[in-house]
Amino acid sequence: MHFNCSKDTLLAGINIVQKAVQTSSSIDIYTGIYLEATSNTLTMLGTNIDLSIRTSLPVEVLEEGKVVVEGKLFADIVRKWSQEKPINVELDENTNNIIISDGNDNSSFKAQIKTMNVDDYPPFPDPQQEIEEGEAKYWDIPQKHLKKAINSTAFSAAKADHSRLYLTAILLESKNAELRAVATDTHRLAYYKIPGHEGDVSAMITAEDLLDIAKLLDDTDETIRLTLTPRRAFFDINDTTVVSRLVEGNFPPYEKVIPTQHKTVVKVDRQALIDVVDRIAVMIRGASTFMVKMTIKDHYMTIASGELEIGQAQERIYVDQEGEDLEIKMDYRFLFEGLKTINGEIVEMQFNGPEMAILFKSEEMPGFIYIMMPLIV
Amino acid sequence: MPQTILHVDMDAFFAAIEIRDNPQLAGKPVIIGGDPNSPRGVVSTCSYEARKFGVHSAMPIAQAKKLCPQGIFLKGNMDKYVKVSQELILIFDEFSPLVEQLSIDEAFLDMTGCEHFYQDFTSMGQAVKRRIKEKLNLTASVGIAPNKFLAKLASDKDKPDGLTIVEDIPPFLDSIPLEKMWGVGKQTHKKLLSMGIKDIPTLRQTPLDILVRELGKQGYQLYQLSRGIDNRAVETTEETKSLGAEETFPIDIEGEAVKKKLLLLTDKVARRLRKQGSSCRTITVKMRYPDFSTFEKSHTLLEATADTDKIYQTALDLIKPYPGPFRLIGVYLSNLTNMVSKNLFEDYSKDKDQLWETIDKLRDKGLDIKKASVLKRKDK
Repeated sequence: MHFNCSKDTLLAGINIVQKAVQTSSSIDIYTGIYLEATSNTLTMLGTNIDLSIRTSLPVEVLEEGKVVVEGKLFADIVRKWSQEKPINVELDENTNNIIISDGNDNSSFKAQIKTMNVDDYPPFPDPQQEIEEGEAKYWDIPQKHLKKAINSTAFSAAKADHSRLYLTAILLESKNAELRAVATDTHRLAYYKIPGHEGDVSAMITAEDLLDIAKLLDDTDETIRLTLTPRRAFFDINDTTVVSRLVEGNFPPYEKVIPTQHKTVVKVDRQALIDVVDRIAVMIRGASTFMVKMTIKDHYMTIASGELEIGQAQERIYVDQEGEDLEIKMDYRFLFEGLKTINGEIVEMQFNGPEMAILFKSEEMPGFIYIMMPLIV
Repeated sequence: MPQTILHVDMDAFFAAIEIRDNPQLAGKPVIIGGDPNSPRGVVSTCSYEARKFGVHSAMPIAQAKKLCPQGIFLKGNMDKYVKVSQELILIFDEFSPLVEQLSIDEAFLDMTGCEHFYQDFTSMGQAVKRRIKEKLNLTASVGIAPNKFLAKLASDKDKPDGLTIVEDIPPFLDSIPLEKMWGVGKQTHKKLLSMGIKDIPTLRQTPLDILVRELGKQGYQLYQLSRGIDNRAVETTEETKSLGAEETFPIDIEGEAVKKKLLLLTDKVARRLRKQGSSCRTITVKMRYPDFSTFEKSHTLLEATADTDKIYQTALDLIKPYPGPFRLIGVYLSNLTNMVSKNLFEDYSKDKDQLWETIDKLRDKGLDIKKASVLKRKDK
């Protein structure tokens, strides 16, 4: 195996697959990046039990072949490479080392890295092989829609929950000819639906993997293909395939908890409210509670910190109010993150009393709903 | 505000207890530690008579035997010493509400504000010593000074059965060998000597910038200490606003047994947490090794929880890097809050919170519900 390419090309490939390459593992081969050179294409693979990534790059291939090298070491060498020089990677058949140099005979830098046994490398998941276990399903989604759906919901998924893994996932499904993305940690829920998406799929994929996938997506109408087997989701995005293991379990009944009526509605300048919450939060950081008290009365909304050891702060802001006055307590982080995610100048907040869910929506982001629960004693 | 700190250090604690309980040993070189027949044992304490032969704590037993062949070697009885130590703490509590136990046989008492109960510092020190003698029939050395650093040096000044009061700081400090200073170990001592600093007066004359350049942060500390300045407060181990449970084991535990005990302790304290309707964000694990060295590790969660599993998982992650064996472990919960975020799905799912609520209710009715993993094989 022997190929030549620029630092930028190789690094772009490494950055894509490295997420699936483990930095330490009791199984050495999982720390490896697989490189295969064929007809002016370099295929790179990273794989572990939960996530596999494959990408192809255009490179000048002088000799076809394949190797597995320790991923972190290879990545670090490429990262430190000087920008102007090409990278030349060649397998020395006698030593089974790859030699990395700038290709000159008097190359100033030269590294020899041991390779791992290519035959030990786990096979890249193939949907065709998994179809026997059940029918595969295909879904073609415009990149910009999937990207928006992931980026608007991921923040509401639980960061870690060993016993309820489905809370760390985003539910992606097609229903009523809509693409739906939903994430919840049981205290708040983000739900985004985009019409015009026929299909019959439903899959839970970790928010963490999906956020990485979103980075590969462009803001275009060009579609990517999602293939679902009973165990895995395959995302084919341009020259890259990402395979994520599906999260098992039953996603909570999200449609049932969306409030259908309200006793109080306010419309508020979104950025102004973000700034208010940000200022009040200064008092709360470091406190044991994240509670803020929101009071809605006579067209004013007041956000106040609790009586903390260090002191207290509050600020009020004009709002367009309809319905009852209200006093409600909440975790300021839930409020802040929801306001940051929803688009639009004006956000509408709907309330049903101090112990019921709060619903957020915006005319400029139709199809998006954010729901958060208040804090109670 | 000036402080009055009293440091108590028991004299040859383990040996003194053995002599007290077996008067025939009085006046003899008593050496406590390890198994005298094992080559690996070290001296944990020895009587002052044994010290005359050059025996000291942490010395291998084999060497002590060579130095003092006529010595009386005892394995010691840790349980008994712990009991005496607990009685000692009760005595300290009579004198001050602020007691910091440093180890099994020494403690700081913050006597600030209690000065007017005594005629002078000498009678304050004598009162503490007399009470220990009355109740436990043991002697202690006491140091009284304006801070912890000086008080500890003072109690060491006139051992055994000593009482030293530090009022005039520079002359007192100048009589202390450099290597007895807090923070001056072998390496630092060597470094100071290489800088031409052989005693505390020379240290005091060394400019701050030189000390900091050579010794970093420690240089600043030594600069302060050489002037008798130490602003550390007496810290009681009991944290306010926290819930905790700890257990001392009759036999030191390690491995799987640590996990089981940790789970039992977590369950106990989490149940109390739920009973008072609270959740916690910070979980602290306390570990004590057989040599009584004790330390704590904490983790603060993003979300407050009252879930035994979640607290246990966090506690386990904290203790994992430390293999033990431990003579004590404890679990403490702090950053308590009684505000909880409601569950969106509470009407639709039997969630964890409700599971624990149910388990707690059943336990209140007298049912003994345990995690299967804490059961012994024969119970299953």
